[in-house]
Amino acid sequence: MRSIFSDVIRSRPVTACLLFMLLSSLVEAQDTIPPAEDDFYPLTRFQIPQGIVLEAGAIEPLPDGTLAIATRRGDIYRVSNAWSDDPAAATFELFAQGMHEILGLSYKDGWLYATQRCEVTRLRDTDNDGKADDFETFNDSWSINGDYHEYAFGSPFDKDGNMWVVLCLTGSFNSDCPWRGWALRIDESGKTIPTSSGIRSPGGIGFNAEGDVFYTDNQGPWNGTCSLKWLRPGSFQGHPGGNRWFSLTAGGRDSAPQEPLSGSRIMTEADRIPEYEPPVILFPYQKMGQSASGIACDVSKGKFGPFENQLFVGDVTHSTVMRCFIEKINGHYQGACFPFREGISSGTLALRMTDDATMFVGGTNRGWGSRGTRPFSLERLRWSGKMPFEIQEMRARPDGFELTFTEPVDPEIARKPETWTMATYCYIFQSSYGSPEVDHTKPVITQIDVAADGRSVRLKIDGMQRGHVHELHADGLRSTTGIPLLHPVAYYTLNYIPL
Amino acid sequence: MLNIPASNSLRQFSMNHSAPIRFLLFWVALGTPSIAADGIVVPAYQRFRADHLSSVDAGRLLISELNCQSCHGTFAGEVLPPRQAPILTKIGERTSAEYLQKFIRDPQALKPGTAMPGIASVKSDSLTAEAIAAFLTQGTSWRPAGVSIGAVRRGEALFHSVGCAACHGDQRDVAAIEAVRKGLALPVEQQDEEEDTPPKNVASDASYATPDFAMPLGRLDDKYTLSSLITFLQDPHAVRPSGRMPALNLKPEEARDIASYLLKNVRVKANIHFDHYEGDWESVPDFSQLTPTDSGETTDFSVSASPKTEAFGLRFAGFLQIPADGDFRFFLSSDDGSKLLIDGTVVVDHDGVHPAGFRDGVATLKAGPHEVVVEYFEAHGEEELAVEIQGPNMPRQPMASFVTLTQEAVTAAQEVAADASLELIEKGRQAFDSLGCAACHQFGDAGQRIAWTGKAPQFADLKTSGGCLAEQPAANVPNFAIGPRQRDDLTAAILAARGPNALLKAATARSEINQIMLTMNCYACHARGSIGGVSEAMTHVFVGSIPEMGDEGRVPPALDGAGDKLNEAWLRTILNEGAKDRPYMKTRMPKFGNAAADALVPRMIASDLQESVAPVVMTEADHRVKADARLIVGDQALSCIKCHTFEKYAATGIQSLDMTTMTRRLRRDWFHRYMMDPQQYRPGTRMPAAWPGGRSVVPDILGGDAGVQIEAIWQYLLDGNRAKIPSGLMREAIELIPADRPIIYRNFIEGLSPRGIAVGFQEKAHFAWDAEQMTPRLIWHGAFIDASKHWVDRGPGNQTPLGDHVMTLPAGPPIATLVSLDQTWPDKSPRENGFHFKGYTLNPGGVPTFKFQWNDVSVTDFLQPYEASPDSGLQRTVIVKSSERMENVYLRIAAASKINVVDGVFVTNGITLKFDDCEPVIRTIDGHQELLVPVQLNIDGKAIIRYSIVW
Repeated sequence: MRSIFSDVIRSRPVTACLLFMLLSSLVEAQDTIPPAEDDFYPLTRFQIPQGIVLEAGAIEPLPDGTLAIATRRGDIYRVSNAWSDDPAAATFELFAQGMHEILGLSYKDGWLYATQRCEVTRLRDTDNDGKADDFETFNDSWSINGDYHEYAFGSPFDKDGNMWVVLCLTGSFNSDCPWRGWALRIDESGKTIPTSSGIRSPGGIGFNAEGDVFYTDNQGPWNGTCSLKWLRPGSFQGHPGGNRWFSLTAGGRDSAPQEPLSGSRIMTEADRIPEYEPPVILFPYQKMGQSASGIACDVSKGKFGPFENQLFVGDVTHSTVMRCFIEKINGHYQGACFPFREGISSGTLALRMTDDATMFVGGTNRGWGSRGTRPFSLERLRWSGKMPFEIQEMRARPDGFELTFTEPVDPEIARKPETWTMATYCYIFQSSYGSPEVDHTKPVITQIDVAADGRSVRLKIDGMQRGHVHELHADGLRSTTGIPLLHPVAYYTLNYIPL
Repeated sequence: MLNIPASNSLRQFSMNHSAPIRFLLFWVALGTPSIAADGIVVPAYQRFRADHLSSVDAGRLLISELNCQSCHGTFAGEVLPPRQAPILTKIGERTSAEYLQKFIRDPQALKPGTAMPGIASVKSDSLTAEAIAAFLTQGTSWRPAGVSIGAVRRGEALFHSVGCAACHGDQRDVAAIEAVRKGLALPVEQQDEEEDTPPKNVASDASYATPDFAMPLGRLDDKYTLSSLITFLQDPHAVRPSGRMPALNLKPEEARDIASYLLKNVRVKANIHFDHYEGDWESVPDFSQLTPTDSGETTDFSVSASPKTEAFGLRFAGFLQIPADGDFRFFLSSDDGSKLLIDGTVVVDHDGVHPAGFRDGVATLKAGPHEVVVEYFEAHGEEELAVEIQGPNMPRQPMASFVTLTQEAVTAAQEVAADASLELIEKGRQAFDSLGCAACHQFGDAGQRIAWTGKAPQFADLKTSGGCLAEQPAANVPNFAIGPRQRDDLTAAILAARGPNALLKAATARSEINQIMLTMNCYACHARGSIGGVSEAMTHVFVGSIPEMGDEGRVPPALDGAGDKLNEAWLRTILNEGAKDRPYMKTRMPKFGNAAADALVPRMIASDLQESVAPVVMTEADHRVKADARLIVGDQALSCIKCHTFEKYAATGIQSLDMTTMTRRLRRDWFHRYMMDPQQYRPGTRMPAAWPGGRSVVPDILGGDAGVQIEAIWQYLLDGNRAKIPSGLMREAIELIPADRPIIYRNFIEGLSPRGIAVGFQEKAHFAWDAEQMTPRLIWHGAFIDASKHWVDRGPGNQTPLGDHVMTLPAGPPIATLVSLDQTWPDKSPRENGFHFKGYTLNPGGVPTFKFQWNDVSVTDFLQPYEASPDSGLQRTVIVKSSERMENVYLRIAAASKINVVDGVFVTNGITLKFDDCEPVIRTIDGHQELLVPVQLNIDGKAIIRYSIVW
């Protein structure tokens, strides 16, 4: 008779052990000058004028040089001097009000497209008085039924000219009206293309450098932990709640993917259900965050530092921005996440990287708590030009992992087996809420090869676990200049092992 | 429908069998074997024997639960007193002699799995059982009572949520269970709509149908009366003092509902006369002036006597049989109005149109029959009626069973008085003694208790092959119907206790806690170590009110470290009194009683207590520390209040444990440890680590020291409900006050679809336009709207306008083609009628013009205030454009029961409508009137309809 708690209890020593590692790393760091995130990616906070409640749900630069910020209260502000070296120079002007929880903004051809709870509206200012006066319904093909949870996140237009909208379920479990739990595409004429089912509770949507579309989903039913997911057209993202709306598609009800088995594992189901696209990156609950949100991609070609083409993902609860390296294996994206920047003033929601390599970060903690204590915030991150010592990339290999670094590693330390520790685990894929970490294993690092230039390390591993998060710690690693890693941890979601 | 739990039989079947329940019930009904496959049901035995219990430990558990000690003396190493058999004093008032007789003769047949032994000689001689039953029930009477449907329905929900089903299993049918599991998103054994197919969507093969470790209920219908079951449920320890059946702290009405559910199949003879009337009243009419549409006899004061659900009345009459002189309190709940009269005097007056809810009144009555009349009417909406009585020596209960059709006291069928002969009673007394009943059962009041005079060998001298352990015990030896494995286990335990190392194999606190938790079946709800916790089969009877909290919100916590977490006094309180500290969890911690507390609390503390956290020295004065802590928990810092309630203040997100009870429940040391790393103590909890890596996220408060901050919170919470309310809990209104430009508020507005758009004006005349219905739905005056409902916290629910004079306008579709004026206005949604919302434009003043498309027709809708008296009015301009000719097209302006026209001005429901240049028509259709404006295009393909609204 299996108790539903038995797995939870088995996981306790691991948590304790990690805490110990965390504490010991802090103690060690005191010996030398501890590197700090601020040295490399300083965070600049904008003073928001009294009377403005800037619960930033979406951020978009406009061609007139202002920055549009849409809020959960349904306002859109235009911020002038948002890029100015002096953040105090920024001024805020109300452009539009009276919309319903805006969680997507995109500018195109004279129109600002705003995804609000009930529809995508495009706005413009026809009489140039600085205020929008034309609010045209671009698409309202999905339903809402008055549940606060029915959020809608909108993307910019993709490489094919389509806008993407991800629609939260009604609450956690059900899809009470059409297209809840789906990603829809909207073409340039405003027509709807139902695209992916299986969504639970999105927190953001964005593109990678190739223009493929990703969204974040949150811990809950069929989501053991928060994750980054790839919206491959036609894919099923794991939560069967919205599959009833296949009845409205051309393929009809029968075109719905098979129901996943509750209590199973992600890759077991991915092997069984061809439409199911396993999460690209699982963000281990509590270790990385508790509520994944906005997505931004660094396409600045080096202006933002050493993480070109990588994805950045927010977390509301931990008030952080996380970093994701992804690669394509067997036609599926997967990869590793790393801590990147903590200390966002409120709960991180919207992320927007502008062409000059400024990452704007909007925050709100209304309804959901965050470590950042302010009720809302607007901040920006820029690279200071100093090179952080970080794991730049973590790639899966048939027999282990290959790590690249932003600075050469001390080869002697890197070759020591005790420099590295790795553990693996996964999550139960189940219809009830969340999951503990389960199926723990301890792979053995059998060989460590350090490249001649010290820029990469090859870890050969006995016991790679398909479908598991591979948690790697390298607390003792030093650069050739004796600096420890800014973030000595990486979590690789190994859905597929390359051949 | 049979009401026999299928628990014992089900276990023989493959859990994947597609339709086991119906088949098994049938099988039970045909002929129940005396001995169930696994013998006596002791939940922890059946559940854990295979995986967690050694034969010796299993045997020890059986010894305690069969109370072998009552005959065989003390058994070494027992931590808890053994399970005492029910106290039989006054059993005749709660159980019928007939049931007792059958049960004594063959207990296993009536209640498979029971710990009550049968005796071969009694089974073969019906007179002995009859005599014992007569002896036990002498001088008492038994009164079956009908139950009301509403109570049964509520009782079913309670039984399957407060905790009864955690031990007794789910009593509902498979379809109902599947519905619940689907709602909780738990695996269900899906049955395809067409035919039975192998289950899918289930990774494990566990079945949620009543598992074999559920404690059987037996045939409660035959055993209890409503009144006696209510009494039992409220205080089970009064007759079962060992606490195995814990008390759930049920309120009287909850006990009544659960008892009603368990006795739902009891049938009694009609005993109340009723007359049924039809009519639409707002108070109880004078029924004597009306002619009933129906009359008959019934068993309950229930609305089910009426075939209607709206606009009817009922008058019930009968004779209330009062057992003894005294003051009686009568309770009347009704939707809508009702009155209760006794001997022609109104005792409870609950008249008028209102929702259900009790009112009561007292009458002093003499023993004997009294004329009783209950008058009731239902206007519209919900309907309900309940009548209850409470008196000296009479718990509050439905009154129906005390009512008779005629004045004569009680008919034989209604009340079964135990009137056996003295001879039979004496024979029963002798048998009770000689058969050893008194060894286990108390009978008689203190001082007159029958003592057991027999003798049985002590444990040390027991032969493990004979006596009760024999496969076929001798004629006068109790037969416990134990299964073969249970026999082996009992033998193993008895022999192990004799072994030389019996005492050396010292029990640890840990193993003794395990023993207690097995015995009291704590594991049904709580895990500890690697044992127990909610089983997959029962998990769906654990429900919470906040689905988003997941299992944490519905499944009772694991008890690992509980002796470190909770302070001693609170641990004792929980076990002694029960608890309900988690507002989101429907399951209650029941009360197990002193013996359990005495045994468990010291052992848990001994086993769990960790090193204490060193005292924290505060540099600030106490009042400053508390103020800082108050800041930390509020919305300016850690926002603990987002999830934790604070006394009567709801949290702003989910509703987790009350902060003001923390220091009453918890130990300070544990609080410090937990706050630093919640995951370690409660893996998977949503409680975030507020001091990640030991660092504070609010470094400006109290020097940023984690330990100091946590201590400060503890000190602050030590004030309990006197602690000052943290910032952010009292929701302040966010009134939107239109000034130079109108304010648009797009959100969930009461009375509109979720696509509501409210527009507020400085002139204090406002409207709300519905982008699904394509029409204005509400107009009002005064204050515009309070946005705090949606702009504070997550923002659930619909907001109502803040102002006054809120008027509703008809729903869409706003425009339709009517071939003739006899054609009903289309009732499909506007979308289905070809309407599409196109957005709005703002004029330079910021006033919106709403736009929508009706197939090829474009429509704009513009409303703005104008000066009127005494309040501003709204002027509405609708412009319809079409390139095609349009015929028989109308705009609907109003729909009401009556529309008046005075001097070309239309008046309906307090709204006055005045039109420019168009001629509306009033039509009467389907019992109401509609005001329609014909849409006539002018030469440029445009129709302009303009009118003013004053209200």
